[in-house]
Amino acid sequence: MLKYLKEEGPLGPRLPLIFCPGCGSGQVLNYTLYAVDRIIEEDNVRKENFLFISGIGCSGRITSHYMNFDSAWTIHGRALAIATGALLANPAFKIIVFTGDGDNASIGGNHFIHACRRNIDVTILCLNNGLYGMTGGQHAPTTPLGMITTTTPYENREAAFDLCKLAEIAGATYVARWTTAHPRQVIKSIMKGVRKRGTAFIEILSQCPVHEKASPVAILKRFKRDTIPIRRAEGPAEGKTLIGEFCDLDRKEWNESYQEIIDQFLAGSG
Amino acid sequence: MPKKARRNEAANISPGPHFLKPGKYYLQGSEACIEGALMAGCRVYAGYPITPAVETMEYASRRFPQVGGRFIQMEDEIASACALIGSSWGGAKALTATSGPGFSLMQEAISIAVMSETPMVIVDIQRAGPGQGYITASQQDVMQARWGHHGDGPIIALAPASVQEMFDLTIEAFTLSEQWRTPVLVMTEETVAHMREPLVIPPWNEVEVRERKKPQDLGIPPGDYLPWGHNTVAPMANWGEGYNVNFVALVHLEDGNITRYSPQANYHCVERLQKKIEGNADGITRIEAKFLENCKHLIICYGAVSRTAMEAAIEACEEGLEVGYLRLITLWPFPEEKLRRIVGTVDTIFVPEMNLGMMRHPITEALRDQCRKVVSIPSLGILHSPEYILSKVREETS
Amino acid sequence: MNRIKRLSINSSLEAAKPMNRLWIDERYCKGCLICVDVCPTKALKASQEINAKGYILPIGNDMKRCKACGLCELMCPDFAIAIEEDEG
Repeated sequence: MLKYLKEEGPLGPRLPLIFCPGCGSGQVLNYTLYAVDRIIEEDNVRKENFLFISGIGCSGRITSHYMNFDSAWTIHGRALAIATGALLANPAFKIIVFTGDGDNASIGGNHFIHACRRNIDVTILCLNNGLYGMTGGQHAPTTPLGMITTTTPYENREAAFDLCKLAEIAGATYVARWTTAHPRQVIKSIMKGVRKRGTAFIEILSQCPVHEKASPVAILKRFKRDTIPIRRAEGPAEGKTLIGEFCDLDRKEWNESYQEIIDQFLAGSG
Repeated sequence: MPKKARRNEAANISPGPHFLKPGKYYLQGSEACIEGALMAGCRVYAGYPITPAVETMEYASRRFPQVGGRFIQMEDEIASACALIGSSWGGAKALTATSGPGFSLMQEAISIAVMSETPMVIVDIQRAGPGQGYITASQQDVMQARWGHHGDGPIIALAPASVQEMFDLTIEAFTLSEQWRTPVLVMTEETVAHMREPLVIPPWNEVEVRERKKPQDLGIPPGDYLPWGHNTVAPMANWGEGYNVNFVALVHLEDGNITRYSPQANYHCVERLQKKIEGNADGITRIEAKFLENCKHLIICYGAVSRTAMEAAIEACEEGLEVGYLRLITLWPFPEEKLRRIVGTVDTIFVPEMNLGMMRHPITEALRDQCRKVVSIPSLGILHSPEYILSKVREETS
Repeated sequence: MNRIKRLSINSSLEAAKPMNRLWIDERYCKGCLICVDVCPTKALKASQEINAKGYILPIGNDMKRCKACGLCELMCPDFAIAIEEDEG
């Protein structure tokens, strides 16, 4: 998948990727490129139509200057607002937004719920590591109760968001949760999300070996052990995290709907 | 597949059946602003309701789809400003209108638009501040226009004084933003936005519509393209054109590389922005001057206040007070060199403003050596009347 | 430009037998060893050396076992590993 990256620029090399050893961000980038590669081939979509937008944080760095696509490394939490703007200019863009749990659900929370409500045509990949990685491991809206982080030295006393539930209630039409230890499922979901006309929200539990102070391999094993696919969960999830596809609906996408308004006037002009 | 938003057509053919035909109209300032934007090729409006910018937004919601554009009411002002950035890089000209509190929220987005050299236009229909202030007119955001966004990096700000100028200067704002690849602010007051006056829409082929220079126009292929290089104003490839452009707002090299940081790279990156605008201030800025020959005193004003200040200058001249009149059409970059050249030596410079004295500072800095004194004439909550300005002039000059 | 550096595969005794080749890009590999863990046939292992960047890179454990399933390439976070299938 290196063909999809800018290894070198005119003024110097851009790789190796800036991520820590074993970081989930690199894996999500790889899975995304696998998915995009298949869509370009199978659906005959032009590479020029893809647009990758990210916010700030480790997830934000994915598009910083690596992608050999049109991309944007934007401000904290605002990737979805910028994506909305891009779609206003050109509804044909296939937009994939990389965001983190803090970027999306904290500062970006407002834009997150409204993007889902409007059902704009984006695929949101939310890399959830349960904290703010780039700034040193502060707690986030997704940090589990009781966890000790750099800003919860006396244990976290706040409940955590269930991002998938939030997305579903806000109106996203495709919602799924996987982990970086489930590559094939992630790729399939990304493909589904891109193909879907509407807001697709895919939460990907992603490891932060540095702040969790564990080896990446250990965290990946934990992802496999402590999650349970919805299809197999009967009754309460026994303390495990549910993974799988939570919803897959069809609802008119924002631009599709607005085009009907424009068409009224274009029809009249003859 | 949905249709693409219609791109701007060449200025010398009719833009379409839903455009106002050339002629005389009676419109509100807010409406004139939108008509100007549409004439300039703007096809995206993303905004958030705030008094007194609501009329602009509501009018836009009706007009934009009529001409094939798109209107969206975003969830807050931050989202509106960010949507403008996305639209601009997506290839469309984009506009929003807000007031003081919303303008404060947009500063981060303006800052990254300055750094990434994104063309876009923001209209600030100023109301009284600080805080929630009040909903009547003021000129209290004029300093924020220049210094409100964090970091270095200049900006262009225009100050319309009439409904006609709301139309003309909005078009000029888009022209400047595309020409210089920068966000442009239209700093108006609630008075000008809400008043109704005759508006003359010129023949379409007399309206100058400028598009951003693209690397395709200059024959630069994707492999050789430097997103922030080539010229003083870099050619701008939009998303979707096969140029694989990475938008960044971090300190960057000309090819968009953001990891080879050095103090030199930092300086070069930011200084470039400064030189691009401030270094071309003479060409960018416009002023209007009257009665300057042999004037003893001078009134320097801008925006709505210039209407009554002009009247005060005329009456002062009739009284034999030899008062000149100078109006800043461009607030930023501040036309320092231009003022120094045009203004001779005068005794007192009067600066009437609907704030406690803001533009009086760069005016003093520029003309300190050419006058004896600069006198600020503030007025909050109400537009200066000609009598009020005149009384201050008489006070000072007697 | 010689972009990819090849690391050791196995002892010369076994070199004659057909097997898939392991390519590790030393410029990009950060020694997270996810590839070693996910390999279903245990064809990879961690080397005994620390390289100039301070990383322990993966090397072949027994490349005859490699089935070219692609899991290591899929799960590498750094685009640093590739398996070249033996044509024979």
